[in-house]
Amino acid sequence: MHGGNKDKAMERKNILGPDRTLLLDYTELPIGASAIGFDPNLIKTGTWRFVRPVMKPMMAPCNESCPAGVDVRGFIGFINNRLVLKALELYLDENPFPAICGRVCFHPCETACNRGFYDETVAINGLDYFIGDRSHKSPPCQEDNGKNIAIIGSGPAGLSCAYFLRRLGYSVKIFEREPKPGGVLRYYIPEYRLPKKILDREIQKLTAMGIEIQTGKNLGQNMSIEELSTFDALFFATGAHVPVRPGIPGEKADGVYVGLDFLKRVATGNMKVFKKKVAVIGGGNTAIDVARTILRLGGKPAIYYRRTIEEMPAMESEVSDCEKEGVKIHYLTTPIKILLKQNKVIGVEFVRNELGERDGSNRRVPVPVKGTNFRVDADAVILAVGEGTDLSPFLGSSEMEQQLLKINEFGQTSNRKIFGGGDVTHYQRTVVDAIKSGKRAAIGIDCYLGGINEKEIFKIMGAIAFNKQGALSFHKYIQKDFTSMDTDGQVIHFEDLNTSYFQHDKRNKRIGLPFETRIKNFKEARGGFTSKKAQKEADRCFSCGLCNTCGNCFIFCPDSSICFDEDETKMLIDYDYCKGCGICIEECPRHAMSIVQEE
Amino acid sequence: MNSEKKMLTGNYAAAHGAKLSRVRVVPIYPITPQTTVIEKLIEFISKGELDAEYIPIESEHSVMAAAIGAEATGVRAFTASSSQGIAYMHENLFVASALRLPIVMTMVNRTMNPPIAGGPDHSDSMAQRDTGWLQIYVENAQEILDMIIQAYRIAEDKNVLLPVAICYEGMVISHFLEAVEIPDQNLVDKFLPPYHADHVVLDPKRPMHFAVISDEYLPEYRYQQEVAMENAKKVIQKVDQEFRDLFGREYGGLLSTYRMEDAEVALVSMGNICGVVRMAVRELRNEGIKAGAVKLRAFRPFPKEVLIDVLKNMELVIVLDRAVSSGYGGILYSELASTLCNLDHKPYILDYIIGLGGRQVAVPQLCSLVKNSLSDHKKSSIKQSIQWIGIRGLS
Repeated sequence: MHGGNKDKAMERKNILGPDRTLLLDYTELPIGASAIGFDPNLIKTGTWRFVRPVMKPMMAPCNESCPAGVDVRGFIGFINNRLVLKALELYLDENPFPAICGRVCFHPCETACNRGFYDETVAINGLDYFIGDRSHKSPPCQEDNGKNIAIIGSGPAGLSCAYFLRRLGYSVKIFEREPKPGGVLRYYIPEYRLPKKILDREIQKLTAMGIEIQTGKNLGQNMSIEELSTFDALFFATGAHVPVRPGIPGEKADGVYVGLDFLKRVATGNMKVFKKKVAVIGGGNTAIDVARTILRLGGKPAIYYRRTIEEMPAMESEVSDCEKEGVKIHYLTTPIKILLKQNKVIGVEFVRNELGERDGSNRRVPVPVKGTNFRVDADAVILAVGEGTDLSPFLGSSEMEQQLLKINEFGQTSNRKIFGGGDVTHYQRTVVDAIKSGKRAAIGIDCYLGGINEKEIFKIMGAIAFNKQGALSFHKYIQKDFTSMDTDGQVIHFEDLNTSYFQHDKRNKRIGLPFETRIKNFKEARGGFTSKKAQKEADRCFSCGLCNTCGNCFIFCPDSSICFDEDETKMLIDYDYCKGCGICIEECPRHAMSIVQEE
Repeated sequence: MNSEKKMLTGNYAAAHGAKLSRVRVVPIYPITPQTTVIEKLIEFISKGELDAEYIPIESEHSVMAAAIGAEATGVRAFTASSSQGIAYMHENLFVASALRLPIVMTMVNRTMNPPIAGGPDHSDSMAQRDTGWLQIYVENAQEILDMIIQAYRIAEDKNVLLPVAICYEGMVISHFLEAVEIPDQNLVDKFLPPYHADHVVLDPKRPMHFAVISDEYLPEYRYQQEVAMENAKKVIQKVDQEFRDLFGREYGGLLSTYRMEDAEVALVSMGNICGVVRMAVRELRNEGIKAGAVKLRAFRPFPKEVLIDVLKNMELVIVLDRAVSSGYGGILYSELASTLCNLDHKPYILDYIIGLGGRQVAVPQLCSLVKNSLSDHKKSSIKQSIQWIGIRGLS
């Protein structure tokens, strides 16, 4: 290239310019300090770096808040990439019932969603619904391991535990006292929220996996614990369905109903019309379900709750739907007595409350205000003030505590062969918490039957912990991946995001019946999304803490040290040239990258 | 030939010059008094009269980075700035010259702030003296337009390959209307062929590594630049002659002189005060004083040989400096003094610091300044060779 050095210089194929070791003369230098880099690999500017950017997934608030341990961010990402079946697969790894959760879950994921600080939260629950109705396949099960498990109760906890155990290769048999399986899902959640045909389909998915369900078997009545001794382990999930009564005069009179009984009568077709003026007492989901059910039976319900909407345990969306359907909710009212005439309800006397100090549940206690009593007319009263458990079938088998079945971290009772979960144990009384308890117990049973000692079980549970809500990653468990988590558990807050790269976009509305028509029948009131809307909604996800290959880092890297991998599913950092400037981290919209000290 | 004459401000003339040079990338950040250069260029681009990419960027530093990137792909880049804006480009000006990228920019001179002042002097461009750019100082709108066209020829000459700054006083030349002849595009195309870069080219088909790491060859690279600067002296002269042959206008290349043939006292200045200086020379001549004027056009490369040739027989050389190196004095003076210092019979050299921040420089003021200097010189009673003129409270 340059005089006598030409041949030697040309020999080195990677060389872009003349070999500087052979250069002597300033006239030989390429103009503009160009082309004399030789093999560019010789000058790895990455050696200048003292900190390095790393692609490091962080915890998304949705994932952090899901009791079932669903990778919410992950499945939305798949929908966004038009991989709906993959989204479902990911979901089914941790939760057998997207179609059910998409209808009845109180969706803490949405409450936690960072997008809410920007415009409106992502309608995650609608996306659950969407993928749940897309396909009805079940995940594969491991080879039969020859062990048998009996499950008492076919509510969400029992069904979930069965699902996870079956996937681990167990033969599972569920015993249900009612004529049909589903528990709370069938008898207490009304048809307009969860149609029975959806429930049947979801349960069929489990029976198709080989799970056996025997109905009409009531422990302590037509079946004893001894009968179950042939099973390797038992899982008790009988729920909480014993009505709690407030203890006021007149509560046993004709025309006074208990919430769950009432709902069950409707669910089993034993009550089709209820054209009465009804006072519904309570502030939980049962009270709301009862009131909305009465509307559909032709009655005129009004809800009376002793605290305010702030303290109400019922789901926000349910309360709001209930009000939109025309039910009036009277806050800060406590019933004093039920007014009777010839042992028939004619009204209720209430006292008005004000809020006092906070109680153990951190809710402010209602304090009656003297002289504020008032009366309302009513043909019927429905009490929906809480549910207790019936522990009589288990008496003597294992320890109880505060009217609950006492279990440890992984669902085991004082009797090592017996496990428990759902509402009969200490878990929060929601469907998704029941699923969580079922999964924990399934893993607990597998560990116990695998002969793993308690200390080791705790270690494993720590390794497969999905979030700080106690959700476990079944995916990790089944893969026997007991390394530490992908994330360091640090939850991404709104302030951690670089929202300059997001555009404001309204939350997509779920399909639903108009309020005027929906109260006329029990047709499903609220639907999901069309494919197109689901796509649009998934696109609103910030993907907090997880790279979705938006390419911002690629655009901003001043050293061209970040690129897409071949199939554009992830970003690669070329540490040979990355100087550790940190611009990528600054410009990452979703905080999916971190900077770490070079060793 | 389709040249036309129009009333143009200096900044509009600059925009026309860039347009006629068929610049392709125009990264600019606005700053008074340069802003109307951009405005006119954007107008050309939006009307489709100029096929160029206008890049609005967040800072002058990035402007120069963009210009460097653009020029490195082998297209003509043009930009303009003033005062603090130029200072903000500082480090990238070195990159442009060391990578030998023939970028052309106009430095629309405005004094360095604070105090916040809009008036012109040479403090902003002089502060970039050592960045390796050619600096040509011009004095009117026509010269701006013509010199931008010439500048690309000079800059892109294979023996030069250096960036060029065309410097002119803001507010004064930038905003005053003058009659300007806009040359015919075909003629300009003939004078200025398309740019073909082959030393530094960003082209994926031909990977190239530039701005290499090389401590060991750094002095050699610097010397290469020095040789290019030296070559530029000849090229500037040659291009001016070729321009005259084609367009009928010439500017003297490195410098031009006025009544220097038999002069005994020479006034050396740059930029738009050269006009006032020539008027003062005419007055002085009328009074029988053998005065002459040197308009220094090329400050970088500094035309030492030509200056020696022009000034060696003077009794007295008076430098009118429009920029100060604080703690020393006039910058032009210091360079001229060192240029002449080894002559056997060297003229006496005086420095007057004048016209800072756009302060008026008037003919009578210059005449009395020359006459006083001459009489002091004859009496050998000059006390200070560097003096500040017209400072309130300073006699």
